[in-house]
Amino acid sequence: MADSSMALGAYAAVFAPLEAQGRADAVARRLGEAITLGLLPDGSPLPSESDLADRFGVATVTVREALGALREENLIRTRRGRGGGSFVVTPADGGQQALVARLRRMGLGELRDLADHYTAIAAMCAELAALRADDDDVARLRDLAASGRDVRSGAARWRAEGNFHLELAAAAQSARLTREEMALQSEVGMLLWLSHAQAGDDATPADRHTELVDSIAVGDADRARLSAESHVAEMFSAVRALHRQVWTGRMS
Amino acid sequence: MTATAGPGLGGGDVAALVAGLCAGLFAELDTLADEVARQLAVESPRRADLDIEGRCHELLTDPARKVAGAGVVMAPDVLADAPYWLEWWTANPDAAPPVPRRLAAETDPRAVGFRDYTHLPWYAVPLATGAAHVTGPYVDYLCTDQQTLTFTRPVLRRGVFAGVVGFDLLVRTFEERMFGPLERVDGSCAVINTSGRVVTSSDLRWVTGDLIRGLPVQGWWAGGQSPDGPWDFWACPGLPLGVITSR
Repeated sequence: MADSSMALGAYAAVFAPLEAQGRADAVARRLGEAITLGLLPDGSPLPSESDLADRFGVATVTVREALGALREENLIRTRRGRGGGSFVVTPADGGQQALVARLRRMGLGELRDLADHYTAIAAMCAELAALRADDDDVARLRDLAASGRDVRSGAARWRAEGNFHLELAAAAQSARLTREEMALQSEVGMLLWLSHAQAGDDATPADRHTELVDSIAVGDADRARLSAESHVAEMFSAVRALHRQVWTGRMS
Repeated sequence: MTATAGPGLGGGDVAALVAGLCAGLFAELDTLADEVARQLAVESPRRADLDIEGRCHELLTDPARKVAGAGVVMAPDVLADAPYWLEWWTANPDAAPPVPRRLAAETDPRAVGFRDYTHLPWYAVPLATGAAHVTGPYVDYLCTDQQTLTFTRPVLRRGVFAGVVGFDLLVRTFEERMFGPLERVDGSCAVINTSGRVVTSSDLRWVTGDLIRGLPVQGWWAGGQSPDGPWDFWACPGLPLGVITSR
């Protein structure tokens, strides 16, 4: 199927299915990644089923299905009765197993495509921000870059990384690019952030962020774009290295 | 009869129209701030003491106002049962009728979606100045997802800053109201903020969100006209917004 649709090129892309996964899968993935990344602390209660349904804009039965999948993956446990509900179970391996599983399902081409997409968005945001950011925007970006430098713990660092790029998109004054950045973060955040952590890379994203803000502050759009491109390329090269290890069986 | 019909307007007239539009919104905000202040007056207030949903729904569904967001954002540790807290409702002002929805904002500082709002200008400026503020135009990714102007003012609890109440107005809505008057100005006319960012403009070179470059924006705001320059400037009284017209 994939081959024949590729042969049809752009025409096929127009009629490609909009949502590859069901909604329950999407909810399970979003929650599962938040748990794996440590964003939802171990032992903390999840909101009620109806509350979750409200937040995600899906039916309660969809949430129930998603919670069932999470329970099977041992990412939550559920207690009945008074004081009951679903509680977060942080995986002991720091999410390695989940990351490996995700990478095993992905081809290298798919990974490159994802990197291209994210590069396009991040680089355009950087370029436009250099043209449109005012002094307050620059100050806010600087604060966010600096706060990313101070944190070493996983969740806080990812939060800083995510917030920086979101603020960058907003400084570009583009609502569409901002929405796209948000959607991409929820799709590739875990991949980028966990791979980066596994690589044990000491060059923190915060250094890259500071470089980027310097270009934006002086209104150098070309340099801002290049800086964003190499920042994203670095993050994805950590993912590719890990992907290789997984696919060659050196990591499981 | 078109929206653009009528006698010609000067930049000062446009500035007065902008000020009038904002004054209407700020008058509503004053009422909301008083209401919240009364609800917070109890000993160690909790989330349940806040009761502004009805009032916000009224405002969001009022076709004369067309606000896109309304609510309260608390200063850290004012409420006994939540370090950070906000209650905000949004609605598409162009829907008939607009349907208010509670904003699902992350208020747990440990979670990834959490954004420390105390650094954001719609909170930080009223905190620093003790006065009302208009933030924007900016892309409001926490709330409307669109180019937005946010009107905020402090809420006081026993005379101490306890947070802000505010409204969001889509720039689109602001433009709807200002396009007619802008067209009645001879030559080009733009509404800008203190950074020289364009809110709306009848000059095709600039659109919402652009920064005006190469013009003495700082000087205008400091009170200086540039007598030989191609632009006249009027500050909108009491607002971080101004109007420029081509000479």
